[in-house]
Amino acid sequence: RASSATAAPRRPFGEGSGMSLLDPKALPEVLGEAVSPGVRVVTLLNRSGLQLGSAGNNAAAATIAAIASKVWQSHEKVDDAGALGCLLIECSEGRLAIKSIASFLVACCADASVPFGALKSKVEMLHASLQWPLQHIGQ
Amino acid sequence: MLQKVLLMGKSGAGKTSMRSIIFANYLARDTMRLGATIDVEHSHVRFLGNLVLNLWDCGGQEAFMENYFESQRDHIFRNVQVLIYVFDIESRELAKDIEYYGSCLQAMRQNSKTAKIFCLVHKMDLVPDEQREQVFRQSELQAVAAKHDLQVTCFKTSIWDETLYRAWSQMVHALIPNRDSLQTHLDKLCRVCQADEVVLFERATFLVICEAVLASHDDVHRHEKISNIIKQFKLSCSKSQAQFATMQVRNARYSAFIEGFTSTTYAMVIVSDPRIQPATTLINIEASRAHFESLIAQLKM
Repeated sequence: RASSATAAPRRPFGEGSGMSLLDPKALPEVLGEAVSPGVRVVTLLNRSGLQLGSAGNNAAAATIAAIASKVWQSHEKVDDAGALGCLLIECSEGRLAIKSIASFLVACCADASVPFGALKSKVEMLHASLQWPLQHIGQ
Repeated sequence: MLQKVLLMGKSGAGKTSMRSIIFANYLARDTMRLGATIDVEHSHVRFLGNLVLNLWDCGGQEAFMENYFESQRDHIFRNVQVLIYVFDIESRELAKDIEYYGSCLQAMRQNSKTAKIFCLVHKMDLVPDEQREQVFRQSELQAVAAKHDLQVTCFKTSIWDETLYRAWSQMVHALIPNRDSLQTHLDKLCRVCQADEVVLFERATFLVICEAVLASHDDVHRHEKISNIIKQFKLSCSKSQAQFATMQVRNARYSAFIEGFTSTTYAMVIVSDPRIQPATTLINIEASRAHFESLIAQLKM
């Protein structure tokens, strides 16, 4: 599964020196690997808060993406904030994990029934799958 | 590389108006202030970067026309890549028009026999729909050409609608070599984006350069209509001291993205699958820019 995850969102473009573009149908499949009981939605978003794709409850993805980017930005604006590895947030009605991948962010929203350890390892797994392809878009 | 394009036809047929709208950012109504062209007006127009169109707008007054076929014959008709002959449907001297047309073709046959020849039957807006086919006279024009062992492609045109863009896009296509490789890459971009269609427009004129279509559409003239609409919008932006940059149209049926693409083109991407996020389409447009920039730079003109 892991090897198909790295190949999926990236599709070579031309003969010889190919050009990498994002496959809009493959991305939700890769994100879907993080969906398990209790996970509401997983979404990949750009720094402006617009989602690139999602898995799970897709209707909630746009809102989660907007919130996640704002929360991440708030941290980055603080002086001496340092590089953020992963953001784990306890909310009154669920929990959120956010991690950066290349120039994007991945956000995973779940019920309180999902342990934070599991949530964190989901975003780490998506990071491992998507880091290289997302870094090489357009090259 | 210079491509010599001859614009000929009787005085008042609309040659200078057309050229001004396509290449000089005139709006249709701006052309009302154009006067008669005296002898030949030369203009060099840069197209898609490497291609330079050397336009010869030949004034159509009788004195000049006689001149072209006599003393200036070689000068005018040699080394021509494209001849565009414009007929004015309002003309009351049809026989004379056809005579001049025939003389042109004869001169072309002698001096530039491999050139592409187009006939524009112009000012179609003045003719009611049901009469248009009749005044078009396509078979007659093609018959005259056949007599000189030449082939012509005919268009009905008007400066007041998209037909002008349809004719000029197709005429300019004839001048762009190696379009196949551009077509192949555009088809691939369309597939990867999962788009319905991707169209490349030349930046200054908004003429269609290339189109990749995966989902068929009822309106076969939609691209030239878009050329016409966006060009006018672009010009009205400039008149308000603003530069047209991008446009997005989103509704229940599709999302349309019109973005500056390479240094000499705009790209329009149409996506009708609602599951595909706009941000993804924009990333892919951005990511393919450099690739197309070098592709177009390599088109050997």
